[in-house]
Amino acid sequence: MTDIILETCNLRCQYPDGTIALQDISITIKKGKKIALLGTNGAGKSTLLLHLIALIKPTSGKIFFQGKELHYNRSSLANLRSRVGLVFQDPESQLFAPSVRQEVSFGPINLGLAKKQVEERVFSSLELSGIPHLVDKPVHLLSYGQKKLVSIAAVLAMKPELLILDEPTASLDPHNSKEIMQLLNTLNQKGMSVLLVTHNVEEAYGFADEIILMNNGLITGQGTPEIILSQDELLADNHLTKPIVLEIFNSLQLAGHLPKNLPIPRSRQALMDLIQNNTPIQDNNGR
Amino acid sequence: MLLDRFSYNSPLGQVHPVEKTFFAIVNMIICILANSAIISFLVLVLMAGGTTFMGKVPLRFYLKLLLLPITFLSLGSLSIAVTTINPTDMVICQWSLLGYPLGITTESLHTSLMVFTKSLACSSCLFFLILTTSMLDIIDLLRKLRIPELFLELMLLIYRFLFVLWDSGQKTYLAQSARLGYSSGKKGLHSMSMLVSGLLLQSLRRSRELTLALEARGYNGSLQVLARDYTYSTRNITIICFIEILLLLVAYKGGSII
Repeated sequence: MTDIILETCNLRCQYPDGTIALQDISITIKKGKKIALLGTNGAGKSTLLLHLIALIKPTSGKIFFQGKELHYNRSSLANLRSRVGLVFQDPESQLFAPSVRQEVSFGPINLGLAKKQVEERVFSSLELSGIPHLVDKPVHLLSYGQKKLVSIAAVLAMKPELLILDEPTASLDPHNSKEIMQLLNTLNQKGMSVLLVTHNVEEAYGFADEIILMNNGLITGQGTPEIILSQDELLADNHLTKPIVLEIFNSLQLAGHLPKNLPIPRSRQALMDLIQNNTPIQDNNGR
Repeated sequence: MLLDRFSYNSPLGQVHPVEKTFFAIVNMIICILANSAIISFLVLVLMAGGTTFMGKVPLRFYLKLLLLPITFLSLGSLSIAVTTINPTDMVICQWSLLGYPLGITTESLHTSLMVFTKSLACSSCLFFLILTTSMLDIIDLLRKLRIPELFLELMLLIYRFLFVLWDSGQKTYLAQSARLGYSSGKKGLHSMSMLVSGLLLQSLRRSRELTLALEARGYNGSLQVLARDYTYSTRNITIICFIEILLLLVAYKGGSII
């Protein structure tokens, strides 16, 4: 049981106005994994996140953290939040301090670290996010992409075991998105578990080891990306589309241009390589 | 909002805030106590030079900025210069208004000029401070002065969210104008009222979101953050002290100190 960080058991959430945001959610999040939580707008993803870090108490159901049931008292909440970090979708509502240094130092100070360690954390997390030069900049003069990176650095400074990001690449340009995805991969290689919440199928497919599909407050699928995202019917039920790489790969195989026993490519580059290595070379000399 | 930008890009931004504040405030005090037009003029030149030459604020912009207090002060000084006239006064010019003898006396002219130069010099001291020292440093400075933490947290949040609010207000305004929301006076009034109530709702939503975001990072009732470290520079302190002594000397020689 030690390799499971977080587990939810029949979570149900009904808002005071009667909206049922979560119907019955049971998921497990394992250590060291890259997980993508996929679902359309309004599927209940963000509500689930708020439950995972215990900012909302479920109407019914339980959360297990490190194998123990989470009781919503001060010490267990502090423990949970020091180990699970959440990056909100809108950096503007997460960033409260006027300067980057202040913002990033907030988390580590709350962990009770000494000033010197806090400084180290601030520096190292900004370095990791690739923005050490912004340390003394005022937040309100940063670009949206920079604000996003600061909001990630602010959570990284707490060195969480599990990093949860709510739509980290939403409204970012491709370059910034790529940098953030690379950062998440680096973090995962260093041993951090990452839970990426997104409605972008391409992004989830390229990144995750495991996909959790969510629709209407229910978990509708969980498994490896290759298996989950190649099921046309399941995707259609969840109002999602197949990732383009997988779609092209499948149709090339169907049409007989690629052999059947190939490993499924996970990125554009991998698909290109497969096509290049497997296309029969036309011999035009007619020997 | 523009003033704010200068303070962050200022070459003097690296200088210890205590040094800058000390410089500005001591100059202000000398100016007020000396009661001399020469000292006020010297301080004005010193501060304007410091802000534009060392702080790299464009001279044109600085003069425009100075025009603000100048307009205000001119009106104020004028009302001091013009007084009711007693027979014993040294009158420069006089006229009567509804039977009251009004005019400018040498004494009232002197007082008004003194008030004008003194206030202008003091404004230049404050301009120096805000154009070279960011709000962040000023808040840190206030913390050193043991201002209650509650006020500082409020200042921090207000300062940050002023920009957020300003930004979203501006966006809403643009979105409204793009759909002819301000095409006539009446429509404009209506649109503005919608904008204001919209901003209020947005602020409430934001404050809820912010509470969640803070709690997610272990917020426990106090917003503690790391202050930027500055080192005192002996060179700067020496220069500042030298200037102040020089000013005091001029004031003393002029015999104008109280």
